[in-house]
Amino acid sequence: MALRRQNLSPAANLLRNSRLFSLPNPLPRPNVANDLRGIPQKASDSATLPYPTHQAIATTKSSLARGDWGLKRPIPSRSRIVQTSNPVIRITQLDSIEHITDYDSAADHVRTREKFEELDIPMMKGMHGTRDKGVDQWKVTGAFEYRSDITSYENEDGLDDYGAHFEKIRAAMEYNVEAEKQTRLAKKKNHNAPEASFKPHPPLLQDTERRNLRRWKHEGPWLPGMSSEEFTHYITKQLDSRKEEFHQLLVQYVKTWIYTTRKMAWQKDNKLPLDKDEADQISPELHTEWSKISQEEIDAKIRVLRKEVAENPLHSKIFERLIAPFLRIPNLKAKDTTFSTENTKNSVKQSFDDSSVPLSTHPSAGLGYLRSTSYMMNHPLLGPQENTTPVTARVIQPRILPTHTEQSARLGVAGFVTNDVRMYVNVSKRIDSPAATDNLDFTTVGGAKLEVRPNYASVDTTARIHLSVSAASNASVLVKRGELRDVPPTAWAQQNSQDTSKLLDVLRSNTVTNQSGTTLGPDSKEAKSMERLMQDSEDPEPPRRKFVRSVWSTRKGEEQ
Amino acid sequence: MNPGNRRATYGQSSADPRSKVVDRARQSMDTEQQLAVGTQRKAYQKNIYRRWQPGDVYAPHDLSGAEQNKWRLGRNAPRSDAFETLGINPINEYKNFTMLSEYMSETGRIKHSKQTGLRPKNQRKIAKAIRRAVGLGLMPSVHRHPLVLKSSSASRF
Repeated sequence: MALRRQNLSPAANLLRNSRLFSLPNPLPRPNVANDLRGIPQKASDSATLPYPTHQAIATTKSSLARGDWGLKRPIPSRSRIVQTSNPVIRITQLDSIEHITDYDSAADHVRTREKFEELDIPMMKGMHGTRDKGVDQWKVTGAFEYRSDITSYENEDGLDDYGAHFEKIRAAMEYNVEAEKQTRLAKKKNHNAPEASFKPHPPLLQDTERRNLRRWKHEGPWLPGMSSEEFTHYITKQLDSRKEEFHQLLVQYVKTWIYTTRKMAWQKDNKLPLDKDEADQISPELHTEWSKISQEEIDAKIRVLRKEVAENPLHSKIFERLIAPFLRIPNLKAKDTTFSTENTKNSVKQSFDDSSVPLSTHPSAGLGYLRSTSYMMNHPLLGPQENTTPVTARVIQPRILPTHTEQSARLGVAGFVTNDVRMYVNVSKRIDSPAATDNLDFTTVGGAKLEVRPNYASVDTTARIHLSVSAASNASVLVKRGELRDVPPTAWAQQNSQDTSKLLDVLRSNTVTNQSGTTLGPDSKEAKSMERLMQDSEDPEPPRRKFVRSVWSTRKGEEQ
Repeated sequence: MNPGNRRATYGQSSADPRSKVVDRARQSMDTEQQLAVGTQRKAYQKNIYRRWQPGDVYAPHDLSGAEQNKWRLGRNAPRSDAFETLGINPINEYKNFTMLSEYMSETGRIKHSKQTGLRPKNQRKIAKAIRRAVGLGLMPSVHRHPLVLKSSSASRF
């Protein structure tokens, strides 16, 4: 029996509540650099890790002055690490052989989390193994949505359609086993006792909502990620003892299969009488007839199922309906690698798909608790805004590198590196152009920066955070910079329309001939300036003024 | 593309031969400038060694020159057991002070298995071999062997 806390001595209580004992063990250190085909790449040992591995600790102002961090010995207040406005440290070693507490600044991850909070974006689920591909190609759902934030197997809601079906098979199996046991006991007493009647389980209901259930935590292991030793251990220690249970379920499944086949065959030719009394008379007879299943028939059907497994293991009935829900293992998906460049063995035609690797953390990764971006930014002068305030991103790696050219540049947003996958619809009218991220900008102090709109973040199976960003609209950038022009939109639009109509008239007269009477070439200066004017007149609002209309329309909507 | 080129094409449409010469000179100056910028950019990029991956997290110190230098050198602890790979029993190597020097610090302390990358069995054996060599007087206990120091460059250790 566990000791109750009150029964412990005061000294033990003190120790238990101390910071010394409450520090969790650090996580294993993740790789910062990608291994290229198993060859370790050069990497810095002091680089910021993709996720924190050590607990960050802070202290109060008064304790900080005394260097008291609740550890074995005080941390020197002359250390540059604690001489910041808001010091946070992590303990690498509480007590080293040199009698020194080894600590380091934990500001990197603590501040990154604070910056992430400021982004006001939700954590989404549904992105797996997209390290090189970018986030936007995946359909994602919120990390806290009911369907994706499920771990329990006890609850009916926690099971997908195969899982729910399996529970029904199990219930029917338990009922039948119990009934057979009762019959055996009854037969011991009375030789003429009736046979146990077989109870088939209900058929599988296809439910798309249930099919889309994405649990992030599984009781069973991720088999492709196991080493051969672990796998053998799993088979011998955990599966061997469950063989009998599985066989019973398999028999139940096969019996129901035979039962339903017979029932269908009978229903094809005959029909139950419409009269209720007659039907009640016939159906028990039929039921007992269909329930008489010999051992040979069961064995034959099991052989059929086994053959199916041998042909297509992952999509066979026995795997999908029995094995996977029985072992509670994550979904396994295979992809064809016959023509893949990574495939080195010709005999291997399929490999496990990375997209089905289960997450190692909660889909929110503990970073944020927002559920969606369905909120509106309220500007103190301009009122509610269509777009949220854009975020300044750093061009951390340009697209064109000395050795090669990458598909996209890398942007640093709030301390997270992400692919520059912004869509440029109308490049000529944008404040920032895609070319801004092409080359290394070494003239701007502090490096090139641009404004982006963060959409959401997602954690992958290696616990890295991927941000999805899109281009910030010009109007929102101007609002952020404070380049406002609070002009009543109606007056401005009238004036503008007059101006453009005048301009267009002039242009139209010029298109035929210019003053000297010669026809203009397509590349001439006049033609180009005209083109530009024509483009502007099609979209009469210069970007500076666009926000005025959007704000106005929002306000008008409120009035109505 | 660049303003210089556009100016040059407009210049060609004018008939004045003198302006042509001026434009050509301006154009060549622009190309020179571009080349200079290109070389300068390459020189900067040569010193950037870290290749960022999506999902990386960075703090200010990750963008410093010192950190870039670490990505260039990237001397990490070996991940596999060297003795295991070579099939050598380290206990038999107690006379090989050159090899033993690799497994001790410059103050003569035996390195931790975190740094050597050896499995516990071989780490115990190499520690034994170093202690044996020191005990036999084959190797100094406070520094590397003079012969090792002599043959190695300063940056080696």
